[in-house]
Parts: sequence; structure tokens; C-alpha cells
Amino acid sequence: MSDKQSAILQGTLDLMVLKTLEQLGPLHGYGIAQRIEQVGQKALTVNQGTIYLCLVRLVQKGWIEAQWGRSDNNRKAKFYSLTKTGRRALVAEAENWQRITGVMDRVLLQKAEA
Amino acid sequence: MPTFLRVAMARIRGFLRPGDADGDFDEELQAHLDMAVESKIRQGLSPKEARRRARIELGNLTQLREAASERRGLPRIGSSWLDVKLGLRMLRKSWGLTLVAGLAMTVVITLAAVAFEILGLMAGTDLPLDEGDRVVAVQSWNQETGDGLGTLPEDFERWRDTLRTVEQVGAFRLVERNLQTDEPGNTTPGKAIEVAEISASGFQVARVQPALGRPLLKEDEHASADPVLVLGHVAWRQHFQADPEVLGRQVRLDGTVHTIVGVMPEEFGFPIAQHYWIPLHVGPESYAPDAGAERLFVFARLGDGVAIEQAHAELNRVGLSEVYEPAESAVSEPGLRVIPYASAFLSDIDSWMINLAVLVFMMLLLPPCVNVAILVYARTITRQEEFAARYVLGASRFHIVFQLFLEILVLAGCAGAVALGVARVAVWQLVADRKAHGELPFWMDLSLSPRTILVVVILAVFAALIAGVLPALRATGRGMQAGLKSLGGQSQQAQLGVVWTLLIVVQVAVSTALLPTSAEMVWGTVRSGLLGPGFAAERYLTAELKPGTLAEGDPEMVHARFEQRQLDLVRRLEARPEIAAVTVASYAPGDGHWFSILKEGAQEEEGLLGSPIRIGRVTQVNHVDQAFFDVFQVPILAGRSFDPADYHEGRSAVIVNRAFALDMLGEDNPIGRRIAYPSRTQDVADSGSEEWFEIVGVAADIHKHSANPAVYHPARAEPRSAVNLSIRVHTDPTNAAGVLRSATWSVDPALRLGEVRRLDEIYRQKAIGNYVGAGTLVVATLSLLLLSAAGIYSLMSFTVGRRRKEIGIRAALGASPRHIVAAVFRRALAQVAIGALVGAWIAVLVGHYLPIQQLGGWELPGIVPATAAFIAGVAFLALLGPARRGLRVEPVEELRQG
Repeated sequence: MSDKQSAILQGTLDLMVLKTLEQLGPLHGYGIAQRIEQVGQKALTVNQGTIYLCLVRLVQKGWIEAQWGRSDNNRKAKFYSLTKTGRRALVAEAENWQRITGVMDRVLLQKAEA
Repeated sequence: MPTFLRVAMARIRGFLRPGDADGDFDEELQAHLDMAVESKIRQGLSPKEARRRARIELGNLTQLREAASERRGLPRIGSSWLDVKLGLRMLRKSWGLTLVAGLAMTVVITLAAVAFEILGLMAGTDLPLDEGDRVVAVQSWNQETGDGLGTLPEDFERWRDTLRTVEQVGAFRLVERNLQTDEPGNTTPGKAIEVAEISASGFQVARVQPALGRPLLKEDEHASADPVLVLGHVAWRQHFQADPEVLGRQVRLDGTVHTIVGVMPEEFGFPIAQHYWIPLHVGPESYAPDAGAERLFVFARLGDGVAIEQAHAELNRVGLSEVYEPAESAVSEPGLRVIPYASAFLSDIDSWMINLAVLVFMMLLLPPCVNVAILVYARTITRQEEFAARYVLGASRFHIVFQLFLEILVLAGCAGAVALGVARVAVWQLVADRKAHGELPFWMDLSLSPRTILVVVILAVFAALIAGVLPALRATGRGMQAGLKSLGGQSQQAQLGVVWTLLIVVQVAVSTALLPTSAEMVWGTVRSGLLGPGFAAERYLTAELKPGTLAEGDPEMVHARFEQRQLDLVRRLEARPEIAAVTVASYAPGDGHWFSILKEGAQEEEGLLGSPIRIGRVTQVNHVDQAFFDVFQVPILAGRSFDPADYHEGRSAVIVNRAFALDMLGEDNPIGRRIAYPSRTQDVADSGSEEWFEIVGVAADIHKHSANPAVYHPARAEPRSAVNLSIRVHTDPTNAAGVLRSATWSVDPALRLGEVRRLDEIYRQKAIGNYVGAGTLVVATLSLLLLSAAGIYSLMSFTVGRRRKEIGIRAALGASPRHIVAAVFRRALAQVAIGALVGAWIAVLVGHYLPIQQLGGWELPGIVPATAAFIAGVAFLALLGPARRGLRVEPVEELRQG
């Protein structure tokens, strides 16, 4: 891992997947991985395999649902989409994230001032 | 739905259908790889490089699959499945242990399963009728004993008219009748059958329609109605060859013509296991005190929405009639109760008794489990390196112990499955035939009861805890350190330990102690079957003779009439050319004798010498006529036979058989000694009016290969409900059965003659039962022996394993194989020898104090040294394998490793 790359914090991957699905609509695992890497502009390293574990987890929670379909290249792929519960969960998780990052910012700012 | 619940449900779904999700996941990963490869080729990479990079970015596929699989299933069970598979592999690898431990567990769990299955059969109360749980028994009961009491006809009528919480109140009583069919030219005497006199409502309560014709109707109950009969399916097949035109045919029951009006379907046996139903007549004429002897069993169906407690409360409000208070109330006030129908025919089996039985079987399971634990521990020690490696790699001690538990649980589970299978077959063998012939209560359910399955599961888990967890805890404690050192290249220091060694020695001692008794019991049980009765039993026919309807009226008169009919019958039979001799006794020889406890006579007062009679023993007792010994061609060995004066009131002569004389008195002369039966005379003991009997003769044993002690009394004028009639025939006994029946019929049609059977058939049937019992004992003993042998084998194997280096040095120094074996196994052999000696000593004590003949065994001279030698032989065989391994040790190799 290069110095400029950061590992994803535990639990944030779920939020990223949910947000991706909200923005882009139904998407397969490879597409989700590509999108996260693209948004992260190579600042984040995502082991693509872990995305699939995250997808299993989210399906179990009922936040997303899966359906087999065809990709742009006419390949068979499993498409994931947000459920109503997932949308509500995304809102709640995003707020939670904002709160945490806000607190972290304040903590880091104080440290700098000190 | 809360998220955690959704996740839990998804995981359960994933656990139940793991294959689907796994395949789906693989397909998805493959699609990912394909897309990634395609994209990278478009970016200009070669196909090979594109594939390589795509695989790297996706990560380790195996780990991914496992992680996803774990995520989808139930966490603990999912990983336990791997342990179960590993357990199965380990069991297959150490097949010797699997065989021995599995056999031991199977024997005990099978015994438990069969016992509980039979218990379940006896205790089952679910009626296979429409809304069978609403059918109840309505009865008075003895509050001291818990037994149900019969109901007087007037109480039945009153309950039927007043009770509102129950409907279709009915009653029945069982009576015996002679059945004669109406076949043309049929002059054969009737066959004694059991008939249910039942109110018509019985068929309404059962809600079963006849296969042919109609059931009994209310009109049939009138005293003036034409007598009718409804047949059961078995009776229809047996006596009417399943004739579809049977309706309207007439039969005679004790001479009274009855018209057949219906045939009930198969499996119908209401009220218990009946095949003949006639209407029950009740009314004021049956209220007479004399008729009260034949009481009724009352039943009903609970009204709609009525709970059994409500019916119970109402019955207690209505109460019993005051006019005829039952005689039993003199002892205690009878209670009134409404209970589930079948419960009225069963003794109370309390739940604590069931728990106690489970506990007893757990105790029985303990010795084999401890043995298995020894073997498991012995094997576990050899796997310490494996456990240490797993420990280092992050497995917790709990997980290792849990895995060993699962290994044994898999084995115990297999033993449980076999046990359930055997229990099922055993129950079928025991009762299915009788059930098909309608001899068992119609509600008896032959399918495996859930309670049996539960008990087997409990025992299997218990066995796995004892035999798996205990050694695992021990081996993963301090032993783990040894394993860790061993991993580091240091030599293994594992030892079997004092406790385990001691257990093996105790095991050998117990085997040596039990084997003689077991062998004597087995031989005693099968001996008579294998050697035969020792006399021409095939030339004897025997049957029970009852007074039948002669029994109605004054008991004195009944007895006198019955006695007279017996004499007439004997005379008539003796006149027949095909019959050589006839005798009347209370029992046929060897069949259903009465057991009692003997008490010694006051010898000092009588001035008799000799050793005291061994009191507290049991004996068979038979009341016989004067012809008995001649008919069975039994010589009188000492003293005299009965003379006519012995049959008079006030005489107390008895004759004992040889087995009695030997068992009770040894070599002493029994003539003139006196005996009494404490169980009979307990209530008069205080008054000093105990009945003493004097031995006047010793007869040879009738059954030459059976050692049952027997006392013969003269069959004096005592009122008896039944006697046994035995005849000896000159030639073929088949025809004689018919002769016996027609003679009985011609003497008095009211007499009831039971099934006529050949003595050798009775003995053969008894022998089959004995073989089953002996077989069980043999299997139990053999499994114990096998465990001992396996224990010795483990001990020897460990001795070799631990002393490989020493063996190497001895071999290098030129010691002969014989010396090496002697030196290495000296200690272990000494332990086994001590166990065998202690066991032999216990066996001698047991042989001295245990009345083996009394328990049905047969003393075998020299059995103790023979079994000790046998155990030594088994120990020697168990030693052979490890000894050979020991002698194959390569000295140079061992010394280099050291």
C-alpha cells in the first residue's frame, strides 16, 4: 500500500455501497467496486472481494435486494438495488457519519490549536 | 421487522439451503472476473496479464467463499459441521476404537430404547378414534391403591340420565361364552370366547361405522329383543372365512341363538381388544345384590366445549347410589373420577418414575462410557501434537474440546440410531403379530414414541460428555504443554496416568468377576431349551378348564358342581382308547407355577436333626391329584407318594422334587421336615395358627434339565376358578385335542376349555423367550469383554510407545525378543494379573453367596478358573499387536532420534 492510499474504516464500506446504489440505481458488484475506486480517486484501497461480503451482509439486513440480469456487455450478472428500508438506513447512517466526522474535525482542530 | 431478526432468519435460510447460495456466489464471482478481464483487455493488457490482475484485485477466492459461506449460515453450527466431518474421518481412521466404543454404547442405549419403547406402548393413551381425546372413563376408584372400581348397574343408569357434561354415556362388561357356529352338521363343542356386553352407545362413542350390516342399537338392549351379535374383523375371518353373506347367520353363545347383524372393520377393538359384541341388558332386575358381582365399566364422550375437570366435578356432585355402597368402601371411601379413557386401563406411571428410569440407564451407561473414555484418552494423547498445532494457530481450548465432544457424539448418535432401529424391530417382533390378531388394546401405537427418541438423544449426549469431554479436558490441560514441546522437537512425555491405568485394572477385575455368573445364567436360561424337557412332552396335551356359567350362584355349590364335572370329565377321557392317562392340577408342569417364599419348620420342637432349610428361597407350588406323578411318569425317589388320606381335610402332606431337596437341604434327608409360606400366613402368624406342611416324599424332577424347585400339594377341595387338565396320549396328539373338546362339551356345555396345547410347544415357546434373554446377556457380556480387551490393548500400546527408546537400547545391546517383551510388559502384565486375580476372588464370593439356581442359572463346576484363564487369553491376544510393534522397533533409528 502506498503512503497516499488509506484503508477503509470498518463499517464505512456499507455506507459507500448504499450511497453508490442510491446514486446509480441497480448495479452489479463489479460496477460498485469500479465506482468506489473511481470516486476515491485511488486514495482508497478496496479489496474488491470484500464488496461481495458487504453485499451479502446488506442483503441479509434487507437494505438491498439482488436480482440476476444482463450487463451492458450482455453478460449475466447479479444486480443490487436499494430497498425502502435501505433508503431509510442510508439516511440514518449518513447522518451518523456526518456526526462522527464533525466530532472528529473538532477534535483534530483542537489538537492543532493546542 | 427488526434488522437483527431479519439477519437471523436469513442466516437460518442460508444454513438450511447452503448449496444454492454457494453456487450463486461462485457464479457471481465468475461474472465479476469476466467483466474485469474484459475491461483490462480493452485497456491494452494481454489476456493472461488481464486475468492475473483481475484475480489479484478480487482477492483469495477460497477465503472469500468461506467467509461468505460463514456469513450466510449459522455461525456456530456452520463451523461445527466441519468438526462433525472431521469427527467422522477420525472415527474411520481409528476404526478399532469406533467399533469397540460404538458396540458398548449401542448395547446400553439399545436396552434403554427397547425398555422405553415397551413402556411407551404400555403407557400410550391416545385413542385412534375421531376426537379420541374426548372419550373418557367415568368411574369410582380406590383412593388408596388408585385402581378403578366397577360400577353398579343402577349407578350407570343414574349417571346416564343425570350427567349433563358428558354425552352418549355407555357401559360394558366382559363375559366368557362358548361359541358354536351354525355350519351344517356341526356337532363340535363350542370354543370359549370373550364377549363384550356393551350398550349401543359404545358404537356412537367410537364413531366407527361397521364394515358390514349395522352396529348394536338401543332397541337391542331390551330384555325382550331378539339376541344379536356384532362380529369383529378377526372373528369374521377366523370363524366365518370372511363370508360376505354372514349377516343373518345364527350362532349359539352358551346355547342361546344369536343373529349376526354386523361386522366391524379391521383395527376396531373397542372397548379394549374385543371381537364379539352383544347388547348389555340393564334394568331393575339387574340391581339384585347377587348381580352386583358383575360390575360395569362406564365410558362417555365429553360434551361440546366441556373440559374434563367440569365433568369430574359434576360426577362428584351426582355421587354414588346410597343403597348399594360398594364393599371396597369398608377399606376406604371410594372416590369418583372422570379420566381419559385409556388411562383407566393403565397403572399410573408417574413422571418421576420415568426420570428415575432415565437415571438408571445413565448409570448403566457410565461403565462402558468410562471405558470408552479411557480409549479416547489413550488416542487423544497420540493427537496432542495435532491439538497443540491447532492451539498455536489460534483454536481455543473450548473449540478443541468441543471437537472431541462432537467426534464421540457422532459415534453415540450412530449408536442411538442403531438403538432406535433395534427397538423398532424388537417391538414389532414382540407385539406386531398380537396386534394383528387383535390381542392388544386397540389404542396401542406401534410407531416409535417421541419419548423414546428423546431418551436416546439424552443418553447419546450424556455418553459423548463422559467419553468425549472428560478425556479432552484432561488431554488439553497439562498435556497440551507436552504437545507444544513435542512440536518444538523435544520427545513426547505423555503418560497414561495412574487413574486410567487403575481403571483398566478395575475393568479386568469386573470382567473376571462377572463372567462366571453371566455364563452360569446364560447356560441356566438356554439349557432346558437346548436339551429338551427330558421326557416325551410331545405326547402330552394340556388346557385350562374353567367352571364357566357354573360359577353363578352360591360358591359352595359352584365348587361342588365344578368338582363333580371334573371327575366326570376325567372318567370320560380315561375311557377313550387314544388317551393313556389324565390328571388335574392347578398348573401344567413347568407352565405358570406359583412362586412363594418358604419358611423353616420348628425342628427343635419336632426333634428333627439336620441343617436348617434355607429360608427366603422361592419355589414353584402345584396342587395335584393322585394320578399326577403316574401320568407324567415321575418316580418317587424317597418317602412315599400321596395316598387317598392325604386328600382329606386336616392333612398336611407335601411332596417335593429333587431340585427342591438339593437346593434347600443339600445332602440332608428332607422326609419329615416341615415348611410354611410366610406370605400366605402373615396375617395369621400372630395367632400361632400358621399352616405347616410336612414333606412325605421326594419325586424326581419332571423337567429333567430344569432345576426349578417344586412343592406338590394334594389338590384338595378348595374353590378354584380354574384348573389345568393334562392328558397323555398313545399316538398322535392332534386328534386328541378334538376329543378333549367334545368330551368337555358332553359333560357340561357350561364348562370352558381354554386353548389345547402340546406340552412340547409350550416349552418351545418358553425357550424362545429364554434365548432372547440369554442373547441380550451374551451381547452385554461380550461387549464388556471387548472393552476389557481394548483397555488392555491401549495400556500395552502406550507401554510400547513410551518405551521405544528403551526397546531400541535393549535390542542394540543384543537382548532376545522374549526378554524384551518380558521386560517391557512386565509391569502392565502384572497389573492385568492383579485385576484378574481380584476378579476371580470376587467371582468365588459371588458364587458362594448368590443363589444362582434360584435366579434361573445353572452352576458350572470350574467356571471361575476357566473364565480367569479366558481373560488371561484375551489379555494375551490384546498384547500381541503392541508386542509385535515393539519388536519391530529399529534400534539405530530410535537411538538417533533420542
